[in-house]
Amino acid sequence: MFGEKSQINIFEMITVLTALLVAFGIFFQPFTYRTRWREAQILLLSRDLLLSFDRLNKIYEASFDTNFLFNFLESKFNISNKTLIAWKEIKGTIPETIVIACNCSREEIDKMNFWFNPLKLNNRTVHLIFLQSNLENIPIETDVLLIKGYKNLSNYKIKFQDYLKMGVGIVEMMNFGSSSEIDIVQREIFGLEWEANPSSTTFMSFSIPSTSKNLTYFPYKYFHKIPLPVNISYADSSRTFPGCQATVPNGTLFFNKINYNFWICNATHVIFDTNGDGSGDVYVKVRNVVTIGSQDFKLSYINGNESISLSFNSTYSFPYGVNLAKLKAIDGSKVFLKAFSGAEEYPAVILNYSRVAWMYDFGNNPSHEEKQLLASLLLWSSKKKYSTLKLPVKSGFSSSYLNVKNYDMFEVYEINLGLASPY
Amino acid sequence: MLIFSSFVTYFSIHSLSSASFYLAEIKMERLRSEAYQISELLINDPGEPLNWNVINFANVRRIGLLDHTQNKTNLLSKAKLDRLIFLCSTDYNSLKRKFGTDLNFQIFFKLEGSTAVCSSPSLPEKNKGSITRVFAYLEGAEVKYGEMVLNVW
Repeated sequence: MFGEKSQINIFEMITVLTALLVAFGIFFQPFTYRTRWREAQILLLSRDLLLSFDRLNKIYEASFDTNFLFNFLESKFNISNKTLIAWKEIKGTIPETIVIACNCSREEIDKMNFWFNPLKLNNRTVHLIFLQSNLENIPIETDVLLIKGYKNLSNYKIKFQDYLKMGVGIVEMMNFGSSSEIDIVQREIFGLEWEANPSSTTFMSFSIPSTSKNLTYFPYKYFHKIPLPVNISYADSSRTFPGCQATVPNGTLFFNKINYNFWICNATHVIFDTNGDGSGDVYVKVRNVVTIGSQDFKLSYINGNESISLSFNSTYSFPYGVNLAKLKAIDGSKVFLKAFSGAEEYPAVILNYSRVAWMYDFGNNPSHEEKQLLASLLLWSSKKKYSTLKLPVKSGFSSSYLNVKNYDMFEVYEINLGLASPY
Repeated sequence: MLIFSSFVTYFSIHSLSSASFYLAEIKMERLRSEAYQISELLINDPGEPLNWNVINFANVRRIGLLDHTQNKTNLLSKAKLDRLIFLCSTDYNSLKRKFGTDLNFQIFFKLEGSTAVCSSPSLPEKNKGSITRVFAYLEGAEVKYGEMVLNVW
């Protein structure tokens, strides 16, 4: 019935049809539909969690105590059973941990770790971790690079610019002896200019910022509001104070180049020597003000029998001067602390943008106000961003929440709580 | 002619095979959306009137669990929560009307030290819209942590 020619046509038709259907399958992909409901649910959960933390009065604890946050998420929210991972990010204030790389000696590193810990702020602990480093290769976790002692930095311009781009702040503590020591890095990164040879000064005072927009505002605030830890030296069993523990831990405050003793009486009171004669004069209750010498301080915390924390009064000025070269800031509004010799002004601390600061080198035996000055610069120059997320997640969502705390210092910060599916 | 015929055949088969999937997805979207809206009402609305948990149920216009004395989102009232659980077991159909939905629902509450369920008399279907919400609730003067899983079908 069909000739050979017809059979070939049917065969060709079937072949062409098959080829066409395969081609359509390739060129016209089936429609795909993604609901993204899972993502919406994750976003909703992170928002609900933040709001619930706030309602439970735990938002501050969740913000700055990582262990508390993750224990809560595990024990109450059962995050593992929900196959989710969580992270938090804090922006806009001093984080839980600040890593400071310093070109210091081992002894200096140990001293600084002792001076600045435990640093308590707004009822939380801020860990300042000092690491020994060179200037060429700083540890990856570094928040601030501290340069101690004079060093010719002219070869470090590109290196320092890279550090600044990475968000690392730089603080240098240096004394200069001649104009040749103000190299290109001192001029272009730290904003310093040479004026005259070193001279002795008689007192120092801060440039009081007129608005919060001033570059000096935050270090000024930190100096006066952050409680400086003062560790005890030994347990004094030779003295007895009425109403106090039998062996009173004794420490020494070194203000205005004068030693003042103190004794931790109990969990709520400290006895201070206020005139430097070595004997206890007043019992001071925690959170109250004490006048030592002629300056007022607030007893912010008693940290067991280990240390106390003192805050400086807002009108604090240094009643002594130091030997300083006369420098000039490229912009006068960046001078944070000025030393005076008669009517002559000598900048003692100069700030610059990108969180860079120079201060004079206080040597190996600084007073407590000098330690506080360094602490305020380190805190100012540190990154104001901290995240527990170390590796990028494929798809995750976070919700933001703004919170305010005002126990020692007024702080406004942002917490982001993120949730993601690990797979 | 051959190309046109094969084109039409291909897309007809493709459309027919996808239709059931898309219809199911449309239904699921509606269920999810309804679950979200009911959960929002429960968590972020105090109900109407505000003290609906202590008045005659016939006079209640809307159910919401937000503690109206604090008026903060995600902060629920334990008294309202207890009333909702009670109404579930005694008058589920009226409760459904107050939610303004024709769908069935089931709500699991995980509270501190206890769990509670508000469930439809009918069993949940395989395809259901489900949502998990986290909240805090006031029990006396104490604020506690709670979770809610809401299924709608």
